Amino acid sequence: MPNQPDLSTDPCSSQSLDAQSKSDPVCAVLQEIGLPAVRIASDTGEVISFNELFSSLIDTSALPECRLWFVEGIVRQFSPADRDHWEAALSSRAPVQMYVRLNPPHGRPVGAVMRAAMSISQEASDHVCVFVLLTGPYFEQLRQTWVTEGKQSERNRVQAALHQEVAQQFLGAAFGIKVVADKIGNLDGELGKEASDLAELLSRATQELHNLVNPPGEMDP
Amino acid sequence: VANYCSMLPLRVFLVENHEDTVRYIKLYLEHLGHEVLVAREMAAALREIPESRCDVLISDIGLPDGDGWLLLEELGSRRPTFAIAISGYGTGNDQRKSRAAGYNSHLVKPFLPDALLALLKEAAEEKGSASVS
Repeated sequence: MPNQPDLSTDPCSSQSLDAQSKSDPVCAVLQEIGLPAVRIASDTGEVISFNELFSSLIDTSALPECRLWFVEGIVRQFSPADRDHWEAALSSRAPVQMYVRLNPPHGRPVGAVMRAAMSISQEASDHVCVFVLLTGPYFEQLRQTWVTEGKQSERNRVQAALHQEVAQQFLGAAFGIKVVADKIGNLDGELGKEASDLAELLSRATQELHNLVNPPGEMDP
Repeated sequence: VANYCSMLPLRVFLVENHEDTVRYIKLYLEHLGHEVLVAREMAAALREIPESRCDVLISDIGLPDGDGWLLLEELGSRRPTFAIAISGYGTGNDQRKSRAAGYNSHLVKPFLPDALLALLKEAAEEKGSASVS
């Protein structure tokens, strides 16, 4: 396998790390854009190659053997449910996204979203796992994007609900109450005044809703 | 309402598929003395409007089987002389499309009874001056 690093002699040395990163174009590209990544054997979880960003997140003094970094450093920390989810995804060859906790050698544990996908190559049976750390400037940028997308999505949902149902109900109510107020007014002047005030209140609420659903800037022809 | 009692009674064709909207607009217009015919889909509207001899068309833009713009285009010369688009969407583009399609006005939901009434008064005046001439 072309990406297979030579693990026979000191596979986790800095020279070897550099070679591993360069020998695996996918991990190298992910390193370039600032994402930790590791390629593992699908059946055993043994590390085939990785980039430096990934190795920097592993406590190498506790886990000297780099081929076990993924199993011992990542999978071991899965909850039973996560482990089932992970194994099901591996066996079905489906991409999987999971929350993981990494323990870098210096500093506090770091949360990350791990996205794993099977290699495109037909003959290969390996997965590339990419980690998006839930900290730092990259995550902050990502978080901002998620927040913006979430806000827009929620705004669209509320606007659609207002358009499709609430606005129609207000419209019906505003027309209906006007008729009722007229009819009551013919029977009883005082009650008619109350109903008319109610119709006026509903009209104002309808107008407010109209302005909310259709902001003036969007209405301009 | 009293201000509009002198308005000529109109035959109004309402194309709308939201039940509450149909019910209360119809109730209101009948209360004012107008006659109201209803279709809930474009296909039914296309069948019934030409024979209805209506003075005014009030049509929702979003219809289950088409839209109010296409409805007016397909009706061509068989359309009522006065047409009002009603819609939950009222961007400048929507309003331009309604005018281009031939609607006299585009009301954005939720609109008030008075807004519709003002347009019907306009339609009644047009009808009145047409019958005089």
